[in-house]
Amino acid sequence: MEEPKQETTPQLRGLYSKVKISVRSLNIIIVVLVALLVACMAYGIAKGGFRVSFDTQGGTVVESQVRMHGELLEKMEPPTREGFEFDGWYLDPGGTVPWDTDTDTVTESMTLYAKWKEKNG
Amino acid sequence: MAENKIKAKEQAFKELSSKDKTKKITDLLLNNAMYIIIILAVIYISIKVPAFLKLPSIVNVISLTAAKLPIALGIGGCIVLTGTDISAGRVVGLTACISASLLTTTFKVFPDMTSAPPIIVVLLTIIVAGGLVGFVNGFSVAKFKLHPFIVTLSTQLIVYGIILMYLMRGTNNGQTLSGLTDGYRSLITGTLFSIPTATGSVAVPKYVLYSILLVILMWVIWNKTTFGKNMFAVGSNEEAANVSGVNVSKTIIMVFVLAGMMYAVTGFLDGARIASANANTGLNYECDAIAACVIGGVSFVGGIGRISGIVVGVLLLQIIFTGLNFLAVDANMLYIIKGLIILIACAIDMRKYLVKK
Amino acid sequence: MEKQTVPSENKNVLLRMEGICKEFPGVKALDNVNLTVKAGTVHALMGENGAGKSTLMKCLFGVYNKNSGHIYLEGKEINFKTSKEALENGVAMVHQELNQALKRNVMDNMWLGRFPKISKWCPLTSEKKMYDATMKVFEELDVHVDPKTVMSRMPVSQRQMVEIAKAVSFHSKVIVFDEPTSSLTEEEVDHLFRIINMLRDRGCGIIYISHKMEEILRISDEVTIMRDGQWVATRPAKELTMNEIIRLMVGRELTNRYPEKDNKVGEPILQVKNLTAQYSLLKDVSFEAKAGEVLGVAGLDGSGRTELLENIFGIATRKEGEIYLHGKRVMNRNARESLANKFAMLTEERRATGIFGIRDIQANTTISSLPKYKKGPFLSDKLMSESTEWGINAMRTKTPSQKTQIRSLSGGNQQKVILARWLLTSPEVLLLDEPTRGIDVGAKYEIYQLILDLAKQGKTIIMVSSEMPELLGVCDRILVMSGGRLSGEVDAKETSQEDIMTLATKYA
Repeated sequence: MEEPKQETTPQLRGLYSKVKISVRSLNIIIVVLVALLVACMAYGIAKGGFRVSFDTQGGTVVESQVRMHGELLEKMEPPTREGFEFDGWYLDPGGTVPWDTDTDTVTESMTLYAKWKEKNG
Repeated sequence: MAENKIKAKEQAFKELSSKDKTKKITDLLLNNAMYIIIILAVIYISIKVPAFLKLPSIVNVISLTAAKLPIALGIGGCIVLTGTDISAGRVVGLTACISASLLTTTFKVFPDMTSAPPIIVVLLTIIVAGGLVGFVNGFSVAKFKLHPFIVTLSTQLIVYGIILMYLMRGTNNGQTLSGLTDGYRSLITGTLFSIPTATGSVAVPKYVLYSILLVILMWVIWNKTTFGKNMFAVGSNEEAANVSGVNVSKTIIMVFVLAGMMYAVTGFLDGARIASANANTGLNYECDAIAACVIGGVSFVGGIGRISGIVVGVLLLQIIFTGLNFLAVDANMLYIIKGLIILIACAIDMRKYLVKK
Repeated sequence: MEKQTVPSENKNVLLRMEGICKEFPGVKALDNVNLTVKAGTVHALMGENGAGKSTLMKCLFGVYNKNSGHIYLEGKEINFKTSKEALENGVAMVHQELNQALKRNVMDNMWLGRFPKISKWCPLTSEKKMYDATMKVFEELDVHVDPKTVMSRMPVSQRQMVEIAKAVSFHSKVIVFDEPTSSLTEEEVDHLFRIINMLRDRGCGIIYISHKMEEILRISDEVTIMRDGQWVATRPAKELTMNEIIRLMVGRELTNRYPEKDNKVGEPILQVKNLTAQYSLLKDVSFEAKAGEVLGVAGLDGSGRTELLENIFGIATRKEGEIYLHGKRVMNRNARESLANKFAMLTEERRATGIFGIRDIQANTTISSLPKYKKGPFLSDKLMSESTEWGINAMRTKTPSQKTQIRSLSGGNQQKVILARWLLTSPEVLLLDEPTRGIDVGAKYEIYQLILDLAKQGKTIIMVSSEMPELLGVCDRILVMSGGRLSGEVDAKETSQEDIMTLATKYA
């Protein structure tokens, strides 16, 4: 009498063909991971807020702010720099994408860069 | 008919012993843990931030889903073959950079050029480029029997190198590419139709339509062609497929080439959508796509998966991350959450196929 | 080595297996088997392929759980759960296929899983202790191998010696040898027998499993013969002759487990000339097959039966040889070409190379004939489900629907689905490798009927089987393979199992 091969050949192949784990331990793993995920989300929500930092590129220091989604930036004093005139905040250090503090709302953590104009005379 | 079925199921459930009942419920809860978490999260978020369920936010979720669908559709095929493709994000980056460098008004990468080539030529060029990377992946997997992880890890690095060198060309000096032509931008992000609301109207961008077309195309390929059937056969049992007269190597190569083309399309859409492209465009896109596929039931067991599953997977993932963004959860934490979601999705996927042994 | 004629009756019983039964779904693999091994004897275990020898050993080592019966080791009842437990209790096995870590050296393999520590307080492994202990065992056994040699650099025979030395190092009382000489030369066999004799003289009980009659008669004191999962006889070896053993091994009655043969054998259509394989032992096989004929291929395990079919179908690499169908040469370089040339092959390992477990019946049925269902560039669901329906009806497959996953069907029904897959390619030559393996008796009859029906339609069927009664019951002619060569061709009506067995051991 031949014996069925199922005891030796893995029934399912693919990435899980060598998995030897009981359903029970897998259940525990899933529950632990889910708990961890929920904890991470809860922590993330509790510590919610996007940090907006300011790189003044040589000017006076501006305090970073924590804002929620969809909020405007808090009013702040513009930075100053010897011999230069402040020319607004920009999203990139090169100063090509401007940020309007009156209308643009925060949707992610970011750094704003100051742009400077040389003072004439 | 459907009601009868539900009733029959209820009846069958009532007849089970209490021990079996607990087991059934545990099965149900754990196998759907991912969906349950997402639903609970959405409920929580919409209570805390009512704007989340407003029309602009919904349209935003749908648009973002549409933008990320093509790459997931491509990776789905690789997962059906029990493989994966981690070069996807970089291919998206490469193709986005090529599109942005050609369909521009500034021509920093090609200073000799004066006018942008026709959009269709650029599209075909990047599809060929994506397909080429896919071919290298597929060829190495099919012929050298290397694990897709290793192969695509290498191509990922190679493609990244190419992107960096490409961005150093001409007068660009590694800068972000922007200043795209209006034709290109309006073709992708132009308004498909607007939905009027109380405070104005919300525009649905055109690329949503393109994504839908791609979904239909992929559904036909997966379900209605010899290639699709062969792909599932190779995924579920490569040896048997070979004996059954399926050209296994060709099938594997074609799956990867098709995937590469899908990444190219993603890159094409992304360039216009973000209005710029740089070396970081497409970074980690493959993680989202793989997670979406696994959540959507494309199993690492191989040979299992549906296009509808992928769409649902991408949508769910997008909903949860948009929601977390509304709660202003820090981007750093989002990475951890994303990683955990992939792990859980895999564990659940594994569990489903362990139970049936 | 001359046969020792120690009267074994007055020796102590070392291992006693009583009334062992083991059932697999639908198959009774062991039925009330007894085996008694006395200390200081070599006990040969014989039987055809699938007679239950290895299942019995797997029950001893806890690979399988026996359904009923008792095992006593030195009078104490034992029930090992793992082969490690068996080893620790003095029962060891030298496998036919060596499971060794080939990249590691000899002593690493010897002490794998129980590396000696430097001392009780220092948990680092001690190379020196390992080396000394290995050398000690080797000296006892007269094996000349440097314990630091890497396994993969040694010939199979020496690796086998290491395996034996490992068994000895556990101070095993019972050592099972499973076909130990299949890859050894004459001299190496002599050395092996010297070692076996030495172990016997030390009071070990040796269980020796082999197909080779001469060896059995030369080395063993007692012989137990099994057939169809049942114990047939236990006799002192000196009272047995080769013919007597063959008679006991195959001596079962043919009942009408087979359908009536009413196929008409036509003209020869398939010629195979000098087929030699590149990577397996298949050598210089030539034969002819006729239309409407069921041609059987008999032989022991590893005689090249499967390789023959694989080479014809092109899924193994051919070195030389030509295949002609209807007088025209066909290349059959891979499965696709063979398919186009109207060949079809049912493989031996249904799970590994036959079914797509998680795909449904329809996908499993249509995979080889997909181009047939094309309407324009797309596949037609209607045509596919029609063909699947045809397959289910023609094969009388029992399945809830076309959309059922194939792995939820029984082995027999899976086999029918795969047969239907091949019939949809309208083949002329069907190669069947163990078509009834792992299938219950009722379903076997249906498969036989299907095979004969196909032959009646004029198809040529080449069928490999390790069950000789099956070949005698279904085939018209039988080719007998031995050691990769064709050792004979017999007419199924005029031959007997004894004749086939003699041919099958010709080059073994």
